[in-house]
Amino acid sequence: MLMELRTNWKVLLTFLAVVSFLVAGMVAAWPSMGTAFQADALEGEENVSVELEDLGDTVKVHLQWSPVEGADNYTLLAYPQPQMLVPERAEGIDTESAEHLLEKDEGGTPQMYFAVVALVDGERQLVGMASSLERTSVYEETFGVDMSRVEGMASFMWDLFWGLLMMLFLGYVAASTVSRDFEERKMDIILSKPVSRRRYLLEKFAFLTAYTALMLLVAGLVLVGSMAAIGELSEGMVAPLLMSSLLAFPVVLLIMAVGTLAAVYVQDGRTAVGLVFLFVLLQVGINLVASMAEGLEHLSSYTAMGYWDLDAILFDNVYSVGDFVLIAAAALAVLAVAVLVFERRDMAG
Amino acid sequence: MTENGPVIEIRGLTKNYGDVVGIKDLDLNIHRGEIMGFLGPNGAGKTTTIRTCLDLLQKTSGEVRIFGLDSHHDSIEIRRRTGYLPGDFGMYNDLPVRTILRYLLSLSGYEDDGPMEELARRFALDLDKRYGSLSKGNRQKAGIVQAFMAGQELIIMDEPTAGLDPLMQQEFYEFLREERAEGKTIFMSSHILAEVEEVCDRVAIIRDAELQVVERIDALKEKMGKTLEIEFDKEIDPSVFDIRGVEGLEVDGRRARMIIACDLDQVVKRVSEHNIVNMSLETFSLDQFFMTYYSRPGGG
Repeated sequence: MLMELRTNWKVLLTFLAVVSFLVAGMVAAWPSMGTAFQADALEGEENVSVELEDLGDTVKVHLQWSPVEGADNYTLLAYPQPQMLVPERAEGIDTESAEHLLEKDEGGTPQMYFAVVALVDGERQLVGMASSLERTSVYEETFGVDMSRVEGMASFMWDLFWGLLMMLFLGYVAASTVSRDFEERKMDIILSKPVSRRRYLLEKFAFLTAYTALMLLVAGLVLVGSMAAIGELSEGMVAPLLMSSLLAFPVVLLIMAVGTLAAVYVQDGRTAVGLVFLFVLLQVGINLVASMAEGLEHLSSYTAMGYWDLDAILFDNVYSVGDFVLIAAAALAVLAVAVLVFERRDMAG
Repeated sequence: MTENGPVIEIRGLTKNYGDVVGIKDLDLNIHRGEIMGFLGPNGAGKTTTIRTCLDLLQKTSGEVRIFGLDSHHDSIEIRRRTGYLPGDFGMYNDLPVRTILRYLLSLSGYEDDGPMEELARRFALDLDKRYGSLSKGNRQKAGIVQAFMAGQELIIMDEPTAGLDPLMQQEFYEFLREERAEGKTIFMSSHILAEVEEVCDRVAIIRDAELQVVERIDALKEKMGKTLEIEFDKEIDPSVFDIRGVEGLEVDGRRARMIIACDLDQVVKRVSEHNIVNMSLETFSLDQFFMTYYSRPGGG
């Protein structure tokens, strides 16, 4: 294992530096970017308050607005989209409040937009707009995370950026650490010593595990540190942020076990790296489809990455020990297959 | 194992790579304290045999016992007692040779690096250099040092002198003779006849995946010195020479040419049934003998 570290430390340090730089850089950029991820404000929304009353199959929306001086009466407009608020209207309202009944749909309370218009000296004037539900930004609708919150930013970065980068990198390290011994013709000499193939492979994997642990620790610490540096770190966030990093551990182990299996099976670096990349990208692809296509959400549970539930840990501080153990067990099972394959195969010479 | 039994005992060893035959039904014994040369053209099956002995390849059928132990099931114990120099090897390019060799030594469960330093001095190998910066010859020396540094009783080498300059080759042969004197058993492949002739006690010749002959070098030198050429008065049936010990037979109409590896008397008595026009007997070098094995039809 020491030998591995001696031959790999430059690559390791370089990658740690790249990851740290990316994490710290994205966190540092968040304060100016965060507001861009917020939903656009509705015009005059501060003038109209909304309260919902659940009536079983229907929801009663209580709207109340600040009075406008000299107003003769008010008109309430409603429509499921914030543009063209004409179709449902209630005119000639004398009070500064109104009620609107909504039929529930399969998603619960439907999204409905309201506009209150005052009639002042024969002229119509907008009092303000409101919505039955809290509004989500375009980004949130696309990526499923609220990136106007710093946790959302962390989740987004993990998911789509350096989490993927790290998985590809560690998959590459796993596939190449064994296949390099074939390609550089070291395998014959190493395995001519009294070292069993099992021991050889398990020591390689122990090295990979340590490598991963170090990388995740650094990623987690840099994430916490850089958030503290921009003053966005509340005390309750430290644990979820570190945990988000730790929860990637079994997923990365599984990817590395797949890389190891590919390496001992094909005994060729390029093919092995290609196979492990395919494994990672396939999971990303499936998860992307699952998050975007309605009705296909269950697909993500067939991938290891689907169990790395960042939103749950970052927003709600909940995680499943069972999932953690399940993926770790899958990683060990793949590793066991790799050992069996390695013990039975001819060594390329 | 019994102390007097062979160190390496190969019985009916066959190794196929899919449809390709690597070695076929090979029988070979290598005894304690001898240097056995394993001679054959490239692709004959030398490396396949060696790598199967070390369990780097899984045999298709047959049996290999080393120190009386099974080459597959007792492979670790065998490797504890065996040094190996592969024909084609690499080491960690970025590290100094000393670091690499100490690491390999530790894999053998051996602590004392004295012999390693001594071997490096003897073969003029600079242990402080990075392996990647070494010339081909010096890399080969590093390979030789790693094969011998743990002082194991059996050393298996695949073309050990590849890349060594002639002076260093002589030094290496001298070293092998010293090792033999200490009771070490050495099994080495080569495609250089002079090397085998110079240093080996016995030679096994392999061609096209099959063992052709196993013989003591000095016995070969004694026996193999004759080539017989006979001209008959009419075309001769090659089956006339179907005699044990007649090698490398070439029949061209009325002429026949062969190597006599048996008592000449037998051959003369057999051919005396036919009319002989001319007959010549010449002695030839060991070199010619090996060439007959190498260059027969189908030879690689």
